[in-house]
Amino acid sequence: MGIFQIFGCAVCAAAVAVLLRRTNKELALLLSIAACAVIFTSVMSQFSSVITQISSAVANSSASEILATVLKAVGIAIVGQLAANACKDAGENAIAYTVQLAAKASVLAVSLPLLTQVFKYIEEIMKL
Amino acid sequence: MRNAKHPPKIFFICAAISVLFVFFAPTASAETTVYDGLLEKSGAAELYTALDTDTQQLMSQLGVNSVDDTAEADSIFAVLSSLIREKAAQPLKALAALTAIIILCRLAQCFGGSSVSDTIAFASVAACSVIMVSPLLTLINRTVRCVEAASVFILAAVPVYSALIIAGGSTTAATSYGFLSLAAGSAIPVISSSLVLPMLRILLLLAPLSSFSSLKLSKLSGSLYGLVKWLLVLSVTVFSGVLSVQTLLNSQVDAAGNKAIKLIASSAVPIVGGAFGDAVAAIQSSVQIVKSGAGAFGMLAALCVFAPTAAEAALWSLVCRAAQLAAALFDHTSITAFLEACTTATKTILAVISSVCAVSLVVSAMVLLVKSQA
Repeated sequence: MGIFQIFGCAVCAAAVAVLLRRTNKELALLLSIAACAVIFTSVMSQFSSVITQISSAVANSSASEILATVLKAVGIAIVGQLAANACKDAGENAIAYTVQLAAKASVLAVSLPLLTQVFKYIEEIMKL
Repeated sequence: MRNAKHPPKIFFICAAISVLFVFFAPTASAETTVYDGLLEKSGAAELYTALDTDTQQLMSQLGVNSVDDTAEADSIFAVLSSLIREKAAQPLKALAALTAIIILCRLAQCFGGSSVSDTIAFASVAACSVIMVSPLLTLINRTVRCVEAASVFILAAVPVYSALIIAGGSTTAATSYGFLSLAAGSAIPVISSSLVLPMLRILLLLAPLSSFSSLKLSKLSGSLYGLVKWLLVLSVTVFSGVLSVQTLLNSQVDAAGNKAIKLIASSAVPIVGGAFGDAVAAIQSSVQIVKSGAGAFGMLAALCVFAPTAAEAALWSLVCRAAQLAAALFDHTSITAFLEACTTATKTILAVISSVCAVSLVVSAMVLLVKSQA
């Protein structure tokens, strides 16, 4: 999907969602979530070439594992933010906050091996 | 018929060359024997074995396998370029990884909004730390090994150089040179273990801490770097100044003494007095050749001891600077602070390497500066 198709799809989905919200709020919410999912999938398919390019630059080195971890963290952050925004649209601010909290915790959990490695290095420096 | 009676001119020329060769060949051979003997007896021939294995390998790549071998400029440049090519792979991969992390982190902050940006920044700094700290730790260990290797070489070379300076007729200069250089050779490992290594350790520890902490620790690491640089520059300047002035003044004193002895010998001993002075001058010329060779070898050895680590430190410093620039462009403050601290650590390593290399070079160059006085 091209960038102008994405813009068009987003505007149409937003307009239909506004019209639907007057009569059926649940359907409007489902429509906006579906539009988000479609746009996100198409953007990610375009973004995958950038990720491939970056991964090939650091291939066959220890940095590739680190980069994979960072990519996971970035993915969790973006999806978490999308989910939190959807919850906010539905008027569920408490759930949105919990989703954000879960995203933060997941990012920290994913980056835990990196932190462990940093602590190991600090210990090694202290031993010198 | 004419040719049979009068042999061609070429015959006479060949005969003359043969006669000259017969007369002068033993002289040249004797000079080589004297040179080899002086090299062996002074202990200069043993200097190559005082070097560590890595330096010996690098010097053999340059075509220098003993003190009397010389290195060509072409081979020096070829070895240097191959060294940089060999060392550049890891820093370049690290730079690519750092840039990728900075871009991904920025994208996450743009898409993810402000709520998760702090967590992402934390994770990205941890990732940058894992990429940078390990090679910097290796670099610090290599620097310490280089400094120790240079110290061992200085301690092995200074007695040889002093003996050569004494044989060249500069006894007072040799005494002061030997004392100062041995003091430097002994002080370098002590300073390295008690000041330089702890300072580098602190600087490297401050790197991840400066990005995780809200305190402005980058200022502290900058101040530490300034202090170390100032101390190193002061010590190297004082050492070089004192050693050069002391050695040159003492060599002048020795020259005056030697001239007085020669004058007394020439006037007091009839007929052979002048010949005695000339013989001493001839021996001292041979000593000068050995001294120059040993001094030049010492300078080349000092450069070869430090060249690989200096190249590596310079490359990592460039990587830190480039990544710091990228982080600043993407407005990533925590990664910028971390990379700034890493740059300070690499600059300190470079300053230490340059200082100890300068001391090693001055110790070897002094031998070349002291002329034989007859």
